[in-house]
Amino acid sequence: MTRHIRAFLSEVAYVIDFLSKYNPYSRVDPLVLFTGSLVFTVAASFARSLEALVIPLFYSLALLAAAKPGLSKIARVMAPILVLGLASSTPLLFTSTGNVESLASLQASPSGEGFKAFALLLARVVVSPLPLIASLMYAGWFTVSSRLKRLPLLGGVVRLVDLMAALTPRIARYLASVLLGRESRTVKPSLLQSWRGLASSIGETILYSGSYAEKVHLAITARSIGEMRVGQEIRFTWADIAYIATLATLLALEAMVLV
Amino acid sequence: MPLLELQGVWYKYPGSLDYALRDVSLVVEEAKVYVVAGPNGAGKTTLLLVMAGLLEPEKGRVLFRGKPLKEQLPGARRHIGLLFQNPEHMLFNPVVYDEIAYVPRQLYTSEEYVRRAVEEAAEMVGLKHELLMRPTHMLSYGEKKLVALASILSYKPRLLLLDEPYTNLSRDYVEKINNIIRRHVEEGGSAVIVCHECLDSIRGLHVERLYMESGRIRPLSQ
Ligand SMILES: Nc1ncnc2c1ncn2[C@@H]1O[C@H](COP(=O)(O)OP(=O)(O)OP(=O)(O)O)[C@@H](O)[C@H]1O
Ligand SMILES: [Mg+2]
Repeated sequence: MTRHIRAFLSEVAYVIDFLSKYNPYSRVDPLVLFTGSLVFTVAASFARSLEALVIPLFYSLALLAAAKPGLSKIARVMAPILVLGLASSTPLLFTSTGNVESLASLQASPSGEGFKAFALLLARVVVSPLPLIASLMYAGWFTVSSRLKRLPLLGGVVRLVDLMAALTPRIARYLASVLLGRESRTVKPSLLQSWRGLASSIGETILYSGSYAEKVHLAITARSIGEMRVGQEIRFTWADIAYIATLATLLALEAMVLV
Repeated sequence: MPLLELQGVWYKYPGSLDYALRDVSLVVEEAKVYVVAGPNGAGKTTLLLVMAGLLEPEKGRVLFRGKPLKEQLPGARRHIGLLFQNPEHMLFNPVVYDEIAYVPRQLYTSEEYVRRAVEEAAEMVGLKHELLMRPTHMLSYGEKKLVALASILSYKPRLLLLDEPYTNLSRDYVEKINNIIRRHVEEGGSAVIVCHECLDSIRGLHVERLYMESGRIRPLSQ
């Protein structure tokens, strides 16, 4: 069991690290890109029909085509979201109206209405985070945050997210290594033993992450002179203008579908 | 005027009963190397954290170029490079390149300058080019140490504070670090090196030797 948990932990660490890298070569201003993607994410999460998801999906695919992260990376990031979507939408399949009012509204076999509701919810859960994820795959969180940090109100929150993005993968890997250390000294494996081991490893990791966070915070402070200056000059290139124009067109289309 | 000066510094960790630094005074001149030896728990790491302005002394003063260091932060950090004892505590960026670029990105507005600074620092510590895009957790301990060192060399600080720089490095890398320190001093920089068993490693460097025990520091006569 600990083997699967270790695999899961390193997967989480991998995905967060991958999404938070810094891409100095982003052609579109990261702030503009991020805001545009946020709008699509919000629009998609309010979608009441499958058609309303087409444009956010198209937008995300276009961004992914530009980012070229490779199919396996996309799959690794999207897999947990797909699982989440399936878990939340599957019950809808077994209703006659597409609504779960109470347990009594569930039936034994799927219905047509149920299937429609299932497909819409699943598509919504999968598609709505996609624009944001695609923009992070393209630009990377640290690229975006280096711009966001300069905004007056958001600054503090963004710094906090930065610290989380830096710490979470490292703490997850630490927990994985503690589990490995325990496994290497487990002579007689048993299920109870491994649950107990997991619980105490998590406890140990929580203690560790406190002092670790303190040290990394020192390390960040030691090398913090001021704000990031790279990319600071606002430079609206042709890429920005093309991006904003496309964004506006797509948004207008999306508004027409939604209304 | 000395680059950095500690005057009667006392420091106690919050919640601890004992002082980690007791009445420590130290003058760091330009273009000089200081080596502080001493047993585990002597207060060497604490000393460097105070010198970098990361811990604030309970009593006493820390002066950078004659004025209180505290009043010159965070600007003065540009002139101070601290290598942590455990490189894993220093690496907080996703890949090696970002780690080394962290300070240059605060100093320069063009990625082109940043790239040059990163490549120069990587070359100085002998970091292979193909490691630059590697996630920092996918490195050996010694490689992490080199990345951590490159991440402070990339902005050419005047004062290097090196906490156990030689541990876990093979002999050729020890020589490489000594060459970096030699060049740093030739260019007018200073360094404070902290280590317990480095008599062998620092051979060939011209250094001022100090000894630390139970939070107190004293010069070590040859
Ligand atoms: N975060 C902390 N909280 C409380 N006490 C601490 C903390 N860090 C260190 N100490 C204590 O302060 C004293 C000095 O520690 P310091 O880390 O400076 O020693 P050191 O000389 O660097 O040792 P080593 O050679 O083992 O690295 C020790 O007694 C240690 O137990
Ligand atoms: Mg120490």
